[in-house]
Amino acid sequence: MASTFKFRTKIISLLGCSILLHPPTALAQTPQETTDLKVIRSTSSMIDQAVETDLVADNLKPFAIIDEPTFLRRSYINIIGRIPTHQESLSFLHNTEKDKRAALIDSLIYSKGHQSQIFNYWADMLRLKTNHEQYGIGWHIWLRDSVQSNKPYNKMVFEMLSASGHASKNPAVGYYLRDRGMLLDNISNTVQVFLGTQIGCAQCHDDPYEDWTQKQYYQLAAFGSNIDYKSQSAINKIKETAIFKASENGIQKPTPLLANNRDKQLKKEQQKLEKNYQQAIRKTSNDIQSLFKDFKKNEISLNNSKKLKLPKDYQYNDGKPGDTVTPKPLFPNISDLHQGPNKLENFAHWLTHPDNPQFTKNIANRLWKQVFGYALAEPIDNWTDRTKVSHPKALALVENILRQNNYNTRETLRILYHTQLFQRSVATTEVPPGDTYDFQGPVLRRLSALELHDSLLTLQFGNIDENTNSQLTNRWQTYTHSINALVTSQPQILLQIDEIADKNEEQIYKLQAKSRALVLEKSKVDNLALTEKSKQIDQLRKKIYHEINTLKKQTSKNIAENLPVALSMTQMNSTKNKGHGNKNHKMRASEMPSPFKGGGLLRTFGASDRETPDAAYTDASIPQTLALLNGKEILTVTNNKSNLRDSFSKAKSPQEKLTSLFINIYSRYPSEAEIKKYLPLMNDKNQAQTFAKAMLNSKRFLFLQ
Amino acid sequence: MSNKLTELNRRDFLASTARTCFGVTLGGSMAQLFNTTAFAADPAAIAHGGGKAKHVIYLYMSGGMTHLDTFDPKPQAGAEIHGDKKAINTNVDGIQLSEYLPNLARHTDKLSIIRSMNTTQGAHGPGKYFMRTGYTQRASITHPSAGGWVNKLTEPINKTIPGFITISCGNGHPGAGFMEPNLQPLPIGDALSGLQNASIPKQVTESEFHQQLNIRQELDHDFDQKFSPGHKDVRAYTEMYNAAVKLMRSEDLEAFDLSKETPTVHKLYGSSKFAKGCLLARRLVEKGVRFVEVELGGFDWHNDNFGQAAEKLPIVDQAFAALIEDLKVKGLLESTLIVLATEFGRSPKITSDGGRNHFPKAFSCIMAGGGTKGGYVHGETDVTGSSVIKDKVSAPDFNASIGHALGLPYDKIIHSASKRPFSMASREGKPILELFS
Repeated sequence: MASTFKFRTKIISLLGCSILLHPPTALAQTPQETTDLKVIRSTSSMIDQAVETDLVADNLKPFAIIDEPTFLRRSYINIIGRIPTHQESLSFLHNTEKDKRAALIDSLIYSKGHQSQIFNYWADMLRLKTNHEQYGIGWHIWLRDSVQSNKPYNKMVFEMLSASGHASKNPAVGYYLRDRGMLLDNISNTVQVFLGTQIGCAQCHDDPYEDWTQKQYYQLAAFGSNIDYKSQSAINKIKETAIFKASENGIQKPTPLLANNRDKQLKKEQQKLEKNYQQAIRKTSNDIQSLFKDFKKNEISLNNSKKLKLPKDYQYNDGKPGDTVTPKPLFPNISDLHQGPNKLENFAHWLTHPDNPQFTKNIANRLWKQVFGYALAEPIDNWTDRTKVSHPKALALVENILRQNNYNTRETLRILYHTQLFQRSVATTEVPPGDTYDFQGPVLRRLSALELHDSLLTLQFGNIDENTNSQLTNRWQTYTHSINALVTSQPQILLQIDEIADKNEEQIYKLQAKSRALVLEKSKVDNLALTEKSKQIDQLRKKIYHEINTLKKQTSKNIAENLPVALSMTQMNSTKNKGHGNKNHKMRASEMPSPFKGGGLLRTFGASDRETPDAAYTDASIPQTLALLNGKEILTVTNNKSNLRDSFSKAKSPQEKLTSLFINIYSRYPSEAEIKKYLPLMNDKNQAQTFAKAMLNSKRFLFLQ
Repeated sequence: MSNKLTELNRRDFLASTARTCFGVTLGGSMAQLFNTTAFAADPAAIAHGGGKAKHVIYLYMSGGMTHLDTFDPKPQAGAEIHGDKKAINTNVDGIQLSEYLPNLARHTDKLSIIRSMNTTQGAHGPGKYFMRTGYTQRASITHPSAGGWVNKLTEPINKTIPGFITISCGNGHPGAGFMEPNLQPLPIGDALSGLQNASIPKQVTESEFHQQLNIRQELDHDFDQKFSPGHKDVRAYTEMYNAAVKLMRSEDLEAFDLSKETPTVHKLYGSSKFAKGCLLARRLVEKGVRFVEVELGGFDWHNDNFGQAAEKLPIVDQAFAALIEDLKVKGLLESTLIVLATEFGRSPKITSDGGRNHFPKAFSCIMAGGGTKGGYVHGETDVTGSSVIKDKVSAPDFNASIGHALGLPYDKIIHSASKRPFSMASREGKPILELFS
């Protein structure tokens, strides 16, 4: 397989000699630069040419250019992940400038909403989990910032794959911490998402479908063999504190006897002293362990004594079970392979190298799918010898663009959005799974769960793209401060914090036990239907609950008064597991901690559970249609206070009212036939509401043409 | 890998076990052997007491249920292990349960107690995953849990209600993993509130709802004409709207409504959320649902083990016993396998916090009804409950046993979209045939 990849690159670089495949050199090269629209357009038309030449060869014609409202809705949903607001729709539809489509694309691609859409894309691909452990918040914010600064894609990937250190200093370690203790799986996912190739089978045996061997898999994983998922500095700090406490209690590490000392009695005593000392250290270490709980595990340390060995059941001739594996990349045909002392950096360097035959191709293919709904080569994450690329020249062109503009994904997407292809009608028939597609136009698709969610929010609140989840940022700051406090605190201070925290815990345990006893009593009382008694118990429990809370607050206060640096720690504990941020939920899905709650609208409509890469789906289900028919999310938009309702109320005539619903929900004016049919409904508030609900239930709303 | 081959392997296994254990040989020609479908109980399974169950109610004790204070008491091990708690006699001679389970002690003749569960997964997440799927957790794929497998390998009995329903279960798992979305469970968050969005909202009249449906169709007329013929996912929404409306109007919908039960029945199960979940599970099974999983959380007793046991175990004891009694009265116990599982047991020695830590080396799981024999203890732990000394049972064995109870081809290979082979019994799971009568 590796050799085939090499071969394929050769073909493509040969093709690269033709003028068609060289993008203009005037493409922007830094993240903040924007390419001149003329240059963008000439590049976009090269892509159109590449596709259309293939179409001519197959006797096919590109589909017609779509009308303005369809273009408007497609651009908003595709580029910024939500429908346009009433006002945004009107301002585009009434704009009489000739170049307004291009202007819309550019205004959207540089907007905050685009960052939201792209964040969601990376988050699904990387399986981002915000609330897994504290590192998740940092990783979430790191990703958000990377998108905001338009960090070059190769740089973003390099930073994650080469990351080590504590999450509070380098939040990109989240990529490895996400799969704590599961290095082999992490490597498998890494290859899948960044190189578009699956080697998962080879984890246990040589791949029967492709040519990957188990040995190759292990050699690749060996780049991460020195990964240790715990913090050495935390371990040192615990030890330092334990030694301090021991010496406070007069217990010192006994000075070793001279090697030639043969006094048995002395030796025995020495052993006893040593044992005492170790016991004291262990006890204190265990005691203060809990203080370091959130600190200790959120780090990737590099421990070069750790080796990766072939598994016990290794069955091939090229190695024996238990053999130590040395790192080796999958496609080794890169001339300037980095070979420094840091293996993770070597790995990241190899993987993101422009000459890595899969790295650029994979992201080019992925970006294409993001814009047109289907990839040039499907499935996007399983390139094999048999993979067919529908338009090899177009793919090569996008790859060259990425190499030329230093992996500026935003500018690359911009080029794709400026193609004629993006403005063509969608195909009326689906592409059979796995087949190649001609791209006479983009493909029809259902709105993603996040697009649907954010579109409903738009109908409710208007444009909320700028709202950020400040609570996430606060929680992360609190965490990093508390880590700092721990690292810099003297041992005696740590011991004091621990004592206060212990006292707190002990009392709370007692109260909790009391509360549990009452629950038990209550269930007995309930069984006998003694309501009066049951109420009394409820009141008692309320009192205990109050006591627990007071105690928690009081102790935080105690700690704060004595030890200002530790304040943040208790604050952190009290804000743990929250983070839905602003109470009114006026935030787009990208600002919410992930994975989203099971059973909610987002998950019901197929938002990723963030367990496997790109796990979001758009398949229909009964809970979805039930939620659309009867759910509170729809009812809130149509019946409660919302932007949709406001603009409906403000409209004076029935026709204006109908128009307002159409512009708000479908981003277009009603047709003559629709006006004729539905105008009578606008005279009655209830009927208008029913009509609006039916619009939100319709496939015209659920699907993106 | 060939399905036929593995089919043979399982048949071989059952046949050779039959010969060695019972001195019988299996009838049936080769033709019959290959004609067995996934949907009818396999004759080979029936020969071994399997294949009697049609439904499963899977009770999951989340957090790691102590084996010592429930189904594997060790009063003779001393106070540092057993506190001052007693073991009580049951309605089966020679089987004792912990004093926390007086109701189940009256039904022990219907319990198959597996005291020899053993895994190496000592953390909650991986432990739960392993128990439910028989596979260790991988970041590259999500394996189906037993409910997913049962849904995949059986045909639905009820056409309007999904075959796999979860009640009060956490995020993500259990589910059908990599399998098709229509095999995924229908999640019910809270048994008392039932199925979400299944009724017309209060402020909407029946005729308005009709109008909503009609206008939706009208608005989609052109869209459907253009895209329905060529797009499966467009047609799927038409189907799902119809299915949703059918479900809303289905008489079976009342299966989700616990208020239909008499106060006596409610009292039998108890007032806890878990009790309501068990009751709902029974109602769903009555309507033909194949697999219902009910979760009860909060078993992670690192401190105050006995205090927490006193609170939690009566809930389990009452609801589980009620479920057995109720199914028996309804004549459903023979066709319904009740399973009680957890990710690991607890360390025997009481800690300084009065708690117990995680303990995957030895723990207990239970099966009842569905053709299992009852009044039976499988496997054994040592005098302190610290290690299995007889008949170790793995998570894959446990899942294979569920498959066997239903007469399913638990070793049938199903490929994921990424073409990797998986089966209900994982790679090496074998059913515990001794559980079946």
